[in-house]
Amino acid sequence: MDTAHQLELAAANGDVRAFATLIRQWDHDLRGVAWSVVRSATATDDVMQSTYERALRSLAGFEGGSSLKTWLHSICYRTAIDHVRHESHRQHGDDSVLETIAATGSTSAQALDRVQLGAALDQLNPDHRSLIMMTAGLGYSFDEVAEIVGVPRGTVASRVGRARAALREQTQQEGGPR
Amino acid sequence: MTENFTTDDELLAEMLIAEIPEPGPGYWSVIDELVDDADAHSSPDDQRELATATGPTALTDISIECRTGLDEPEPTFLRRLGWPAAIAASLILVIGLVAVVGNRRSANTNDLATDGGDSESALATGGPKMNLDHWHSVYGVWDCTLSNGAGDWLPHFDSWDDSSGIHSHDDGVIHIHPFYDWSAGENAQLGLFTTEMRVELSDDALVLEDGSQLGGGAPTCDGEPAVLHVRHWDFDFEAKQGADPEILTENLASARFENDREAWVIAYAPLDAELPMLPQERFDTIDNVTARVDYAPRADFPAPFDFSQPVEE
Repeated sequence: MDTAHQLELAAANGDVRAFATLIRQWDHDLRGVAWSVVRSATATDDVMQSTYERALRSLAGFEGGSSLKTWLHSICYRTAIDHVRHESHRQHGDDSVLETIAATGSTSAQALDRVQLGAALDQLNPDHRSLIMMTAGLGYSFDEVAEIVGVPRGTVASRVGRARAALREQTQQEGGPR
Repeated sequence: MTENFTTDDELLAEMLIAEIPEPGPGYWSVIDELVDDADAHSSPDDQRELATATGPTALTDISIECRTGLDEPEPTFLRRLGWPAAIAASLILVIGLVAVVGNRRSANTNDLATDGGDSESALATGGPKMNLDHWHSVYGVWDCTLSNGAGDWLPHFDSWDDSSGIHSHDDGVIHIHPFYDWSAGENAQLGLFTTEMRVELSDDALVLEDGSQLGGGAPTCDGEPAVLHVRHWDFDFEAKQGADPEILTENLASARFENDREAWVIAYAPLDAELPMLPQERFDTIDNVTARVDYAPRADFPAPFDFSQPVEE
């Protein structure tokens, strides 16, 4: 049994320290889910902290109906969706994408592509963005996404199709990633 | 593995991942504090208190005992009786539950529930578990005074806030994924949902966000007094098939969500009025967001007896 699996077992049995270690490992992907929905670096941090707070409160009641990772993603996704609903005056066109590009030191061509992609993603609804991120970005299977989002697999498949079509249309309007 | 994506999507994947922002300053210190706080409160007593608050299962209690390594207490008399006593107790419990369910199913469901749902407690499930369950219910609000007395469904409720995890967003479906112990388990109640929708539900009236209300007056529909009440089906397919609902007239706000795919109508109408079926698109929505209950009997399932044949003496 590998260390990651041992950690997950311990965390599922209520070991807070093991859970904290897993949080460090999974945070990047979880941030991806949150970011895809809320589209703001600051809001992503807020969602993540709220996600971990809720998960830590519920850890004692975790019964293993899904994997701990899927369970945590599900909390993250719902918290992010709720955050968007709270934010009736969400600012559009914030400079988080540009900040990210600056932080990663991209070349100008890559930066332009990312700006265009970011602009196209901004135009999608949060559900579509999160599906694109989870499937195309993070490589999750439809089954995993179905558990996270709480809908049947077939629904995920059709929604991903619609999300991809919407992104394709938006990237064509924005000039498209080259 | 990624499904249905081509190599062209490698660039998209790269760009999506590159987009994810790094945590801001102080991010991990806040999370470390959360972890420290949770760790400090993870004593056996704290865990048990938390589990109790969220509607524990026997498994939860057992796992707490296992994980914390509590000292085994001195065996009591009942514990010394061992498995025979446990099996006997289980049998009595099962027989009791079967009797209760049988009585409930055979009862005339047109009878008004005068105890406002307290009779449900014998059958009560634990309710939705905090941050674990994600249930949905079809719902509608019927006002018999609308459309010149012909009655009509009110528009969908829509939430701008979701503090409890029990809400709706303009789709005719109640989404139930409690965030907190105060909205989970037995606390997951219809009143929490209406509050989230900025609607106040009492036994006398349903007060809408704009201040208008259903109930509290003396209107009649078809010559009969209109009464605020709740019609409830355990499953959406029962509502679709026109099964008699359970009718609640008291403690409306305390009606509990007990399983996935229930159906609810908050009705302002005569108690015996025949209401139209909930709009079809709400059933379509619930089919889209949650797994359909497979209630259709299997045609190839053999009957235990062939009743068409005479019994041999």
